[in-house]
Amino acid sequence: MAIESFLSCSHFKDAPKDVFMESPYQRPCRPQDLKALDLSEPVSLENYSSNENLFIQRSILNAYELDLVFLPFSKAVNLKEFKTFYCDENYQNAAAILPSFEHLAFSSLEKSINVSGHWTLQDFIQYTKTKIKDVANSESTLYKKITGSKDPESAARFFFIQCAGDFLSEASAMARNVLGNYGSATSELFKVLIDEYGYGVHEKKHSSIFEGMMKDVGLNEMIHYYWNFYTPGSLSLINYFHYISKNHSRFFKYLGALYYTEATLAFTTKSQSKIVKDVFQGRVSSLYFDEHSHIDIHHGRMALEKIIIPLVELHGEHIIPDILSGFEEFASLQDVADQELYRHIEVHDSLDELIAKAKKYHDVSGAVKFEEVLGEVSVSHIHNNDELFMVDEGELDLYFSPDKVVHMKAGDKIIIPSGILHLSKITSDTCRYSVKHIEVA
Amino acid sequence: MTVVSVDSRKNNRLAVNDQKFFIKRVEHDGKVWVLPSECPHRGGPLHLGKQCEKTGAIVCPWHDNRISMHCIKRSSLPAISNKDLIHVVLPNDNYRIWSES
Repeated sequence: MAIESFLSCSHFKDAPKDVFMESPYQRPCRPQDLKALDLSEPVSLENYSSNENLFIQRSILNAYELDLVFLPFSKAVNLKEFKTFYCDENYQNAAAILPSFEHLAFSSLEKSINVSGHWTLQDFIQYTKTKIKDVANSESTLYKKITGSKDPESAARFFFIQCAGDFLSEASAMARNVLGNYGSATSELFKVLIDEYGYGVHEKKHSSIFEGMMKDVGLNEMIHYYWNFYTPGSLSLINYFHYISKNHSRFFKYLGALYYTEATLAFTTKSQSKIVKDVFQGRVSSLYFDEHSHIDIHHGRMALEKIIIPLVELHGEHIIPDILSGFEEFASLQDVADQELYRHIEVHDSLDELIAKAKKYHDVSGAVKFEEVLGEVSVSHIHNNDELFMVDEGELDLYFSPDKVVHMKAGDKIIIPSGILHLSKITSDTCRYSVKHIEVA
Repeated sequence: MTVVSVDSRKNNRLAVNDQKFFIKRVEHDGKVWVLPSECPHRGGPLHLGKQCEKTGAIVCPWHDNRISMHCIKRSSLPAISNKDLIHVVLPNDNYRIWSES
């Protein structure tokens, strides 16, 4: 299978030496799970927080990001690593897996949304402005979930980690769409891109501003340092933009997704700025989100008035259904990713309850047993059922996020809810632990 | 202009300025359409007509005219659906929505 060849590359196959990635090329995908995964059907939106989707989204991100240039910022590049990441074989294997894996990742999303009837430009403007106004007028659930968490700083940091995969290489997928020439709209999109890139002033580049915020909140700013902690939904948001930008038959969809994201970010970033201010009490600059609250008012307007309307006027209203699909698909995917983030924050807040609840389970028959040695780290994964996790001998750290780590020793138990990312790191010479599917009432 | 959202599990009819429509998933293209319910012949209720499995045409229950889906779709309303929720752009606020089995 092409996927086995692609993931046989050491950067994608090997378990990491530590919980956090040491280089931008280290992106493990757990190919050992392949036999247990059901990849026969596209992932449904209801099943987006599954191990299957995590595997698919990680794999296609690795394929897409072969088109981007990454070098470490703070140390010299390991040239061997660099060349084995950007090698011909990886490009060939990426091209071989992408069509089928994109189908697995996004065809349910595409199928769930459909456009019918004759859409005029006025209908399009009316519909999209109504939808954007709804976002502008809605209360921020993200603000409520983070500030209402038992540990708002940790919840905010987990949110920033979910953004990091995208924001640290911000607008890279957009750059795929300024190549070529499609008339004056090319230059209009280029203007949006140069705003994102800070007009060549590195400190103004949006990814640089985000790096500063990561450092301010005590997080590492290297791309994919937190690879183990990206949820499938967060990965899908990055991948969707590559999906509609790499193959230009989806260019009109890209315009719709661009319009939705730019126009709504002008509003959603206001509450994100308030999260930074309220949670970190003035210790962290909210510049990244403030910059977007300002510039995305322009970008939303430019996407509609300078790019979409002129292109529809020139090429006809028959391009509207694709633009609308992109607009709606990205909105839908954003909702799915948001719900997944909120669920993770809720579970991170309830780890003590999950430990207490686990004590009620005494029947451990049928549990799968593992034995690992000091320092062994599992690549993060998701169980599609609730699991009872028990340490039989030795000690380990169970990570739910960089901040939410449960140290467990022999006799300790915890319930790991379905759909929740986690990984373990062995902290004793050897450790034996067991995992059993359970139904939590 | 206005945008109205209809839960297609609860409602399947819509009228705007006295022109009536019905909401239907068309198997041939898998899309949800908001189609005019008046037959172009004498105004028969197309929403009560049977659909030809082979061609997709709707047979008007009044005079058995077969109205091609292509012809009906020409007068459909602009709509976008996300699962069961269908958003329809209407020329004004003079509309009503109801269910009819």
